[in-house]
Amino acid sequence: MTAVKLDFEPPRKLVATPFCADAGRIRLYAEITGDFNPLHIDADFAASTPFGRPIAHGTMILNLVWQSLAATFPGGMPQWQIDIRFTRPVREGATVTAGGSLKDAAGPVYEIAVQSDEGEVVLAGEARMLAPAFNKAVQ
Amino acid sequence: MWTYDRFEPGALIGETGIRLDADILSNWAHLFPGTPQGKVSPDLLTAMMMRGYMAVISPRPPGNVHAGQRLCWTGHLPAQDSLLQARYRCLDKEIRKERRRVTIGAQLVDEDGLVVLEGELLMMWAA
Repeated sequence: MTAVKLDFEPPRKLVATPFCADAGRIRLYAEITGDFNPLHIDADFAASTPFGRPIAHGTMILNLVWQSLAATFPGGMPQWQIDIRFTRPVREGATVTAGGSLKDAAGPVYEIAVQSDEGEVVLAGEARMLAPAFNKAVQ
Repeated sequence: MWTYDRFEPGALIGETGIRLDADILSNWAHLFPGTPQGKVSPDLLTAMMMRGYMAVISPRPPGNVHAGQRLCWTGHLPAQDSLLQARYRCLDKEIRKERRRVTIGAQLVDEDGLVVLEGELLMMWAA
């Protein structure tokens, strides 16, 4: 894949972006996406599963990565390719934080992750810039 | 019901139209307050990809697990109230370690025919 030529040094870290996956936010995401799987929104149903309580939609947590990228490049979002695995469920009420670190400055490519407050990685992967930012990034 | 046996690698599954209306954008701004009011963002496009998935690939067996996701945002952001076409295709399926893996390709196209977001959803299919 062709490396993107930047006129600035890519930041070494992505801006850490916290988020509390509370019941209200999970419900709102269900309405936005039309995903009303009871595992996400029905506490009684979720209690009967191995999770024990409702879990957040995976892509709601993935969207924190976009938030982190947008916060790192506030002058104009570059184009990105993101490739991740959902490694653990995020239970209702948990606070998680998205972030990342520079893996390859020539790409640039960032190793990205979302972690719980307990330090568990709930999502991991990489983000590769496909086209330059319009403006200088946060340093 | 979209069972594992029904997927054909390479075959189009279906498509649907999604209007980026004010309610969706307002809900998004409530969920992520840093989002500029009335603006479409790549994260919202990701949510719209899931909205189309829910509509097109339905009903599904209970217990599916979304295991992985690849996204490619083309840098294009459609305007509020524009109509997106969301298309879904089965890219691959295989049984590995007794788990049914289905890879679904998603594409969001704007009113001018420009691709705004492409995705690959890796799903562990329950039945």
